[in-house]
Amino acid sequence: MASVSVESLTKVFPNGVKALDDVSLSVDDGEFFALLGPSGCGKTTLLRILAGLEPPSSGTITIGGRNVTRLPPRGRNVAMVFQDYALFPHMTVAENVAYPLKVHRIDKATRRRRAEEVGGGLGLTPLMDRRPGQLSGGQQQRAALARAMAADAVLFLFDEPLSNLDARLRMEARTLLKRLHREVRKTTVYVTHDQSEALALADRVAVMDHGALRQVGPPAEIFHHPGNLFVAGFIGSTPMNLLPARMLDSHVLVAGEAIPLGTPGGESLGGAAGRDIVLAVRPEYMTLAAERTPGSVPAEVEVVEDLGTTYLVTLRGPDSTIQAVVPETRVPKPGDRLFAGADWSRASFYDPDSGERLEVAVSTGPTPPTALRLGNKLSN
Amino acid sequence: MSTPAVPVHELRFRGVLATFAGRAGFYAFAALVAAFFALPMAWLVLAPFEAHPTFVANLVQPTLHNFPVVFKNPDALASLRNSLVLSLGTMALVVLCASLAAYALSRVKLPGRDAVLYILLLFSSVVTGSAAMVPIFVLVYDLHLINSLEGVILVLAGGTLPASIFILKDFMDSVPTSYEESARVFGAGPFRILKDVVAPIVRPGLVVIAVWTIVTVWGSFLTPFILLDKPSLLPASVEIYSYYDVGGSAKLPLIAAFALVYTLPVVVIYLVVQHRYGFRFFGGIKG
Repeated sequence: MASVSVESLTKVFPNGVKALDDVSLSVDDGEFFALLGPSGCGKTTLLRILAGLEPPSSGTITIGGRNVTRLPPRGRNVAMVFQDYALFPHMTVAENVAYPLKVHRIDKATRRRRAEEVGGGLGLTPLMDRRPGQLSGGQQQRAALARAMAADAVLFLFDEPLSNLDARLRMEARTLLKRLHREVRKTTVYVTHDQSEALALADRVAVMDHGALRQVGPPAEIFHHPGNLFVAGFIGSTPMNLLPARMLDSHVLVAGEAIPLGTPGGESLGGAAGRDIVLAVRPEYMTLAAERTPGSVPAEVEVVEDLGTTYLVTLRGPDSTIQAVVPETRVPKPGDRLFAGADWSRASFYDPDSGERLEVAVSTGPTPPTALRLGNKLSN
Repeated sequence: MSTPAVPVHELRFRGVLATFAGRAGFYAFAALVAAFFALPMAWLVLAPFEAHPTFVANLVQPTLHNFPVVFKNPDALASLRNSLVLSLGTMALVVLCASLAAYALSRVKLPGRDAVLYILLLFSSVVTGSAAMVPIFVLVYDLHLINSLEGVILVLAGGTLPASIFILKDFMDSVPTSYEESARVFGAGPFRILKDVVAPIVRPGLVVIAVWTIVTVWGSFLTPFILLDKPSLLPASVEIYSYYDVGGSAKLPLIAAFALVYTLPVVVIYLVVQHRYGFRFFGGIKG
C-alpha cells in the first residue's frame, strides 16, 4: 500500500519529442487513478516512468514516501499489466503467475501454492498447466492480472489492459477489475484511451493532452464540469455541443436567444459581460420541440442515428451544428424544422481564446424550467 | 512467322515433343550430378565392410573386421575424444558468448552497429582461413597455447562467433521487448532476463548455432593441424591423415572404418535435431 506523488515530471525523448511537460499529480493510498487521453498524449510514457522502464528527463517520483526517481524497476515494488499481456510464451500459466516470486528466489512449492491461490480467485484453476498460446484473450488477460497480483507489489500499473478484448469481454473484465480493486484496495494507476473505462473504474481521472494534465478530478466532475474546451470535447460518448455565444449582463445570448443566468445583476460574471464565450452542453441534455419557446433556437434535422435505446439527431442551427440525443419514442425525420432547447443549468461556459472554463451559474429557478424543458411537446 | 501449311494439332504435338526432350535432358543431367555426389557416399558406407577395400565402391567380401582395428588403435580413440572435446568446448563457448553479445547488440542501439556486424561476419572467414594462419600461429605461440586443445577452441570459437552472433541477433530482435519489460518490472536483472525469458524463447536459434558450431569444428582440419603436433592431441579430422603404412600407401581398411565412425556423430546430431525441431528453425515463436 502506498501513495504516489509525481512532481514537475518532464520527459523529452532523444529525438526531441516532448512526451511529458511539467506534470505534477498525486495518487492517494488505495486509490484507483486513471490516466485518460488520446493516443500520443503521454499517458503511457508517464506510466512507464512510474514503473521505472523509462528514466524521466527531470522531476521526482515518490512511491510510498520513498523517492524512487533514480531506482530501477526492481527497487520500486510495482506490478504492471501490459497491453499485450506479455505472458512468457514458454512458461505455463502457473509459472507465469509465480514468476515474480521466482525472481525473489522463493521456493518452488510456495510459488506453486501462491499461483494456485491467486489464479483460483480469477478462475484460472483448470488452466494452470496450459501455455499462454492455448488461452483465449480473456483468459490471457486474467493470467496477466494474476501475475501482477502474485507479485505482492505496493502499486499496480495498468497499460490499456482491456484494449485487446472484444466488446463483451471488455465489459466483463471491467467489472472484474472494479471488484478486485474493491477487494484488495491497492493503489492503481490505469492508462486508457477509452473514457468509458476511465469513468467506470476510477476514483479520480486525469485527462491528458500533449504531455500535460488538462483536468484531474472524480469522474462525475470530469463529465459534468469539464475544466476546459479540450476535456469538454474529449469526454462523453457523443461529442459535446460547443455553441458560440455572447455573455450579457444577466443573460447568455445564443443564436439570438437569451438564456437567463442564475445570479441576478450579473454578479458572477467577473467582468465577463459583453464578451464572446463558448457554451457547451451535452447532446443528452438537449431537447427538441416543434414550437418556439424561450431559450430555444431554430434548427433543421440533417441526420438521425440509431443508438439502440436512444437516437442521436444532428441538426443545422443558425450558427453551428447541434446534436441532441432523444428517446426512441420521439424520433424526428431528416428535414424536420424544430427548436432546440436544453437543460441550460447543465451547460458549461468557456473562454474561446484560452479554452478555460468560466464559472457562471445558470438559473434553475422557477422561470426557466417551463421554458427550457421542451421535450414533452415534441410532435411526431 | 506464319506457317499456315502446318495444322494446329501438328504444332501442339511438336511442342509436347520438345518439352519431353527438354525434361529427359534435364533428368539425365540431374542423375549424373547425383551419381557424382552419391558415389563417395556409397564408398563411405560400403568400404568399411569390405575385407580388402579399394577406391571402388563395392562389396565383394563383407566383413566387420575393420572396426576392431580402429578401436584397438589407441590414437584413433583418443582422436575421437579430442574431436569431442574441441566440438563441445567450442560450442559451449560460442553459445555463451554469442548469447551475451547478440542480446546486447539486439537491445542496445549503437551508431554503426549493423556495419560492425557485417564487417565481423566478412572477416570471420579470415580468422580460421589460411590467410591469417601465420599471425594466428604467432599469436597462439606467444600465448603459450600451442599444443593445447584450449588454444584450438579459442581460435575456432573466434572464427564461428561472428556468424553465430549474426544469426542469434536476428532471433533476439524478434522477441518483443514487452516480455523483458514485464520481467524487469517484476524485479529481474539483465542476466536473469536473458536466462529466464530471452534464451528459452530463442532456443531454436541457440540450437542452430550449437549444431552448426559442432559440425564445423568436428570437420575442421587446418586450425588443429597447425596448432597441434602432439599425436595424442590430434582430433579425428587430422588423425585420419596419418593412416599410412611405412611404404607410404594408405591403410584403406583402417581409413574406411575410421571415416564411417567419424561421420556417424554428425549424422546422429542431424537426426536428433530433425526429430525434435523438424528443421523448422526459422519458424518464429508465435505464442
